[in-house]
Amino acid sequence: MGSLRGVRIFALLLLLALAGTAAWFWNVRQMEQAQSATVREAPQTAYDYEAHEVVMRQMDPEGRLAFQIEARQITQLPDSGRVTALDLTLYHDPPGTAVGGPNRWTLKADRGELPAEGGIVILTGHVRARGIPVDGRSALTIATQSLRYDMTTQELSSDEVVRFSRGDNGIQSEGRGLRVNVRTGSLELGPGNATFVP
Amino acid sequence: MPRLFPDRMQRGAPVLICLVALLCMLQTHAAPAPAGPVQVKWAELRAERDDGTMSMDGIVITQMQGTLIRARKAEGAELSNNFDNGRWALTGQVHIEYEDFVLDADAATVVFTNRLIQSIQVQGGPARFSRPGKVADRPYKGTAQAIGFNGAKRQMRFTGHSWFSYGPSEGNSDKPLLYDLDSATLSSEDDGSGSRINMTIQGRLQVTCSHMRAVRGDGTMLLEELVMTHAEGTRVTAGKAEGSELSAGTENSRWNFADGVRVEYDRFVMDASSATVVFANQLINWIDVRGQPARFSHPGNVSGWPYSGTADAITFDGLKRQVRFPDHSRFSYGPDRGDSALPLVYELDTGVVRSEKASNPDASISLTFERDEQGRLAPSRPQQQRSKLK
Repeated sequence: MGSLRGVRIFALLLLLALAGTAAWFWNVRQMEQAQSATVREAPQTAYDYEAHEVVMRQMDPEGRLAFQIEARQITQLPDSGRVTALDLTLYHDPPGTAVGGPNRWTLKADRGELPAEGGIVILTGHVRARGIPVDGRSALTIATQSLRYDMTTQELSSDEVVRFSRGDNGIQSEGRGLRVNVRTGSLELGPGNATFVP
Repeated sequence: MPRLFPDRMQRGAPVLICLVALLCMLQTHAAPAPAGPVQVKWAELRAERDDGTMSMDGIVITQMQGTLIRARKAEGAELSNNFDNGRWALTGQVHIEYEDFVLDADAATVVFTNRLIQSIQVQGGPARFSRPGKVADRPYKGTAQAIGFNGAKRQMRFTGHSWFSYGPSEGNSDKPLLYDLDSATLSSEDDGSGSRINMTIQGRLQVTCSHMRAVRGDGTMLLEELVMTHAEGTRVTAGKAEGSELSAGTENSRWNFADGVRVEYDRFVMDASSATVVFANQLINWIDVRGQPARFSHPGNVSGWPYSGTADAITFDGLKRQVRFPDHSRFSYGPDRGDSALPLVYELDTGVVRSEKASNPDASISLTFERDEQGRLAPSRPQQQRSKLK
């Protein structure tokens, strides 16, 4: 009887020791992961500024509205000065057109990046662009996952699959690789097709 | 006797028949099925202006009902409603499949209206057209410098120098040719030129004509101002001709000729206002000519005397090699002449003329023999012939 009790006590002590060791390892691991996450997030949280539910207006050297961005969040990174916007809507009036006039372009995307210098906007994620070319008559509508808008050359371009239509009852087409001059309305579209689905 | 149908049903039967007939007619003349959306694919698309124009490389246009248009380059204009309407100028290896015909050309202009092709104009060196045809063994193939499709008339038009192959017929023309898609009928268009259409029928009959009124997929054709020749020396000229029972793979056919008909066959000549000629296995099996009167002449075989005869109707039996003149014919045979109220039969190979039983028992033959100065029969008359004529 006495030896049986000794075995039970030994087994109990052994289980307690294993549980303690496991708890120590788990604690150490959690601390390592927390430290690692902190290291990874450090550059992203190191913003120059961060703004939520913001309307940003960029003026050109002449004091005229270059573009306007409405976004859920805007951040600027310190290393490149690059501005990143989330859930944004960008309004741009091509040079020579009235602010808020019929030739205003409206671009929506999940994410937009604006370099500190130059007028190139990179839009990604559910990109929608719509506008009437300055020399055109009907609205051009573009849908893609990635779009580059050079506001200096007035050119929209994408290497992704693009769906575009011209006019409300116009041609609805889909192709890969698009270049559109928003002033003249001229466009080039890579391999694709146009199929009307009523 | 009990009636099979009640009176009410019997009274309604004509109405029902009329309704069924009307439905059948509607079915026959049913409008074409609605066209599917116009689908366009390209390798490169350019739109320089916002004016309904586009340029494409490597274009492919398709529709659900089987339309296929392919070209290396395309210039689209007047484009609207997702290509439901538009005018396409196509260049480079143009290939068009529409309904059940195929066009291949160097260049083409295709006009869509409400998803239907309203017109096609193709040019090539030459442009090519083909259609399987409503009758499977009568496909139509044609080439021309220019080919046009009129969607409203549902007609192909071949202009410039054109070639065609249709069932048993193959030929070429400098006159514009029209091919009607619904009736599968080929005809020529009068362009005021004196050019003639040349064709080979069943590989042996050579025909030139000034006008092709109709060459149909059912093996019939109507020709005008034609000359028909055959390898065996047959020659038929006529103002009008109607061929029937024409089929590829055989050398049988039946022809009705009219307006100044001349048939030359096996050294004899027939002139008539109308004629029926039956070809069987490359040879003339039967000739039936009619006229006011019809004329027959043969240079003669045994005697060397020519034989000529006139009658309202003259027939030639190709198997028996006999020419038959019915009641009331006139003839001259060498130096002799005669009038016969009896049917006469002239045998081509022996030169024998014999009479057949007449329906009128009083019918007779009146003969006038040429005699020499002494009153003797002409000495060159063959003995056999003399005895018969005595």
